[in-house]
Amino acid sequence: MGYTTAAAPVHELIEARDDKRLLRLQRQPAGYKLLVIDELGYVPLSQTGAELLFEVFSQRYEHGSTIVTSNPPFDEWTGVFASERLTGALLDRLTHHVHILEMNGDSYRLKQSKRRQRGARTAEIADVPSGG
Amino acid sequence: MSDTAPGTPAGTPQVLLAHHLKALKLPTFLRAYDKLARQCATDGVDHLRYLLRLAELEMIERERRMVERRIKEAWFPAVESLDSFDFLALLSLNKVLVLELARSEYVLRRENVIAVGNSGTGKTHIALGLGLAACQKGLPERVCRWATPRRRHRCTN
Repeated sequence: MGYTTAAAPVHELIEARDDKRLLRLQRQPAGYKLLVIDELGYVPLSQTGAELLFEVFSQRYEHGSTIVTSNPPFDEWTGVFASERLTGALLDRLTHHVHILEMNGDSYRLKQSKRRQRGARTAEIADVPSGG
Repeated sequence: MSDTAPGTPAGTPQVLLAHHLKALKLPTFLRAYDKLARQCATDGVDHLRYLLRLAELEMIERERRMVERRIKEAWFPAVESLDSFDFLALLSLNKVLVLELARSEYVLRRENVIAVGNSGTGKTHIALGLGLAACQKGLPERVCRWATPRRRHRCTN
């Protein structure tokens, strides 16, 4: 089981390119029963990065579960991986056995800060003696 | 006032027992044996049941530590369980599906999960909650971190 953001392994894989570490790094995620890849699509990937990440998904296909969180919807993944061919192949593997959780709505962070502001205001009002 | 047997230096069996329990890696035995013995004496529990209770405590504690270690080794940015997720705040999310996934059977079937949506809707929370649920089920036998983050990742989504 492992957790990573989408950007972290890509950096590491690129740095390890000319090394034996590359092989080890690439083999490692294939052994996870469950891998969480967080924040896919926040940062567009370079061609090398996209290919490396594709390799990871490809190795994991039908070998282990992957949880992906993504900001852009599927039809915008082409922009993330910078290649229609690669995105198609990746989506094909990833979505073969998949549960999709649609999570569109108001930002909870925004809500929280609004609530905090409102809470502070209510507290101020409560401090003022009634009848005024 | 001491209840040590005559002829034995005070506390010797305790010291030896502590040493042996440590060597056997039974920290909960060591921590709980005295208190539990008193409790069992008051309740009239026999020595067999006393030992059983002690062993059970050790097992529960060991299980808890194992789950904790799994979570730590997976380098989760924050421990967030699904219990703390406010489903009412995001009515578009299929709660039934999330709870079904929390049973972690998809891991055995090697299926994938994609959480997709705009920023700040709790995608990371759900992903980590599902990971945590799988850890608590003891599903991943082996936990390792993969790809060292440049910085310790903070939960930004």
